[in-house]
Amino acid sequence: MKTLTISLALASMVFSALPAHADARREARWHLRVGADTDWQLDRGHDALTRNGGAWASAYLALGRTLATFGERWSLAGEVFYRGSGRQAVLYQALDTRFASNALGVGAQLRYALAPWLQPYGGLQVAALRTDLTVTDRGTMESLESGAWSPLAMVSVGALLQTPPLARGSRVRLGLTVEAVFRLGLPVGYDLRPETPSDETLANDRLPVQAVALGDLAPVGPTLRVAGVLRW
Amino acid sequence: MARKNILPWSMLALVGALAAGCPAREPELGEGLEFLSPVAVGNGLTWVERHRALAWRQDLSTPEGAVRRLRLGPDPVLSVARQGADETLVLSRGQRGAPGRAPSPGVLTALPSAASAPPRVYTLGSPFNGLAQTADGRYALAHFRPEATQGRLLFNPNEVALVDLSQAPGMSNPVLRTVRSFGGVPNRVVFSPAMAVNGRSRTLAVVLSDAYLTLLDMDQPSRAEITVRLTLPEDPRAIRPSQVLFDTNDATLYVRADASNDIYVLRLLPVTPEGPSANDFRPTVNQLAAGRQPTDMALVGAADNRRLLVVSPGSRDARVLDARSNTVTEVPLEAPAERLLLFEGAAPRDPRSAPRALLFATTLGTTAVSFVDLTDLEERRGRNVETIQLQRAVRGAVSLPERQAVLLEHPTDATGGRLSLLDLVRRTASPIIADTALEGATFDEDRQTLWVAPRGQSRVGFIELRNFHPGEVRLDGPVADVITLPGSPGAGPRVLALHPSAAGWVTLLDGRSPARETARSFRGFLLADLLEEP
Repeated sequence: MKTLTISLALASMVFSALPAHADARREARWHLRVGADTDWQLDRGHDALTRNGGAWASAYLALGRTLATFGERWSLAGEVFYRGSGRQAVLYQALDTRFASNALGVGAQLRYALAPWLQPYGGLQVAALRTDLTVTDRGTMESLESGAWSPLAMVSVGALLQTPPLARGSRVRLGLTVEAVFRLGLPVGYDLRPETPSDETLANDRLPVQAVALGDLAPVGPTLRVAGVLRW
Repeated sequence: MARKNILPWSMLALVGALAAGCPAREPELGEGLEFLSPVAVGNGLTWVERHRALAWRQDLSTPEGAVRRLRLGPDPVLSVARQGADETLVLSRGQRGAPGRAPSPGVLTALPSAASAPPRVYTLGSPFNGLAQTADGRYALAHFRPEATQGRLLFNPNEVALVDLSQAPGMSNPVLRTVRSFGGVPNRVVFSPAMAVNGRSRTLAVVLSDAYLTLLDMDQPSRAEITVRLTLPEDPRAIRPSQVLFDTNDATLYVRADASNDIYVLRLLPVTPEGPSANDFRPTVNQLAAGRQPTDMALVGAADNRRLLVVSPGSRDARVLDARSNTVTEVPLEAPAERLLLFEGAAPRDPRSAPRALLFATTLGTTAVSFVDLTDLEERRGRNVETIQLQRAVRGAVSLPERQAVLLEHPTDATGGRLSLLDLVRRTASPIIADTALEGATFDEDRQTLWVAPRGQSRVGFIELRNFHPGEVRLDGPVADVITLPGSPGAGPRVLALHPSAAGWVTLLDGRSPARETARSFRGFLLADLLEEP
């Protein structure tokens, strides 16, 4: 976390120190963002699925386009994004847990060009969230699993720090977004069942098993998102 | 320049604030698991985990096998079914104080099977680790078992707590007492059935120590205990009393000790109490010689002519002790015996049903057993004994009195089957080829079927006792143990195969028609509500 903070600070100073290019206001239409989300979970049920109860990291990938401009400073952009993470933990020194979270969604950003190198923005994203939980007994290596789909919404405020166009006449810029996000999702219930064997004969031979309810997890909490941006 | 400096510091503040607001993981999620043996009560199982002090009550009367999680007192060490009631008794030792952790006393928790009934918590105060209860489940007695350490700076090993489980916890329930000591500590506690003493029915707790025993009147817990020495004061021997039989019609206790050749007969005589805390009875002690190294005993004869049958392998005989007349009758045996089983039935040369006994040894390597006809035994002595050669040593036995049979276990190297069925009427032994030991074998509630679970195999075996037909059911995983559950209205008895799993895994079988087709599993139930707030 300390390294991340120092990197952000250095990057912001570099961007602000860059000289404005002659055609700095030539706006790029497309952007690609690759970054990392750091999630804080408000639901303490997540404790069972993480090693230390601290922050959770997710990969973030988005492709967007400027959809409209309003005057010289305001613009509206849309993007499709993927957000994914996987984490493992040991429970009671006897069980391995794996929790995978994958979200695919769309979002919109309303940006304000405060300076050629700085665009604060606010955003709203909605996604379909798929979560999969696997619990494996360390003694028998037998696994139980559960999965669920749920809606996810994210509201954010952030800032885009960008370089001037990399070449005269070009729209290509590099940048960095730093975003404070709040995730909102409905509680999702998880019912554990044994892993189905891949062999069909074995799968059909298994005794019927009653699922067990682990309880609900609510994907709610703040997120810090830092992403590198390629604009063109 | 000032604006350039704001951004990095703002980000640092944001990250710091978020990190500070993130609490650490609950420590108990990283602790290991240690389960006590599951307890079958009513329509389900109760599981107790020691480190988290949690109980799971699994209701198997419903298809979904609903699970209820309950918090217990710290450091649970013992869980048992309460006799005569659908409750689980859990004894917790409590915990010592530590930084951030308040000390808590030892408690006894009664967990009713019904979800609507709240648990009852009896505060015992001391960190007891032993529990005994009466046959009707009304009283329990918590005590210290002899162990190297109790995890406390000071403790009184002779302290006991008397609990009336039929009453709610209160100031006078439980009652804490310290039993009188001659230097020893309690080894075990047994309860009498309700027995009439001085004209009043009462239940006695008998606390067994190395060289003496202590009587407590459970119906009058405020009265003083009675301590009875079994050796002379100058005798340093630890004779270790181990078996107590109660003659309820004659207010008499028979005590056998592991390191004594005598049987101790305690007759409880009525006396007039000298005060409110004094007892209204007094024991007299009589010693009767019982051969060398008596190892088992049983009461025989009608209520007005009660005698004691004792087997003593050291002197290769059985003895009949009459405490009223102080007489001992020796019955010589061809094969030394360590254990005895009483039964009523016919014999090959006597079609009348009569009281008889089977005498056998389990550690001596003896390949013969003895049948003893108890009628006129004192007169006929050895003529009432018939010795049957089995050709194989016996390692264990399970009595099937309803079937007039005994299931015998033989050593693994025995030829002709590891199990055999001894017909008590015909006095013949039929081998049953078995790949398992009788250890852990269990009957269903109405003793129609005997179940065995060979450790590590994915099968459970059974023998239908009405026709001695053996069978087995293949399951989905290795089996650690098998437990039988009583039948519920509209359903017969059920059998649970326990699979080794930290998440919980049992397979429920129909006790009447055990088959893979009617079996179903419950898995992961010990993780029920894992994601809910602790």
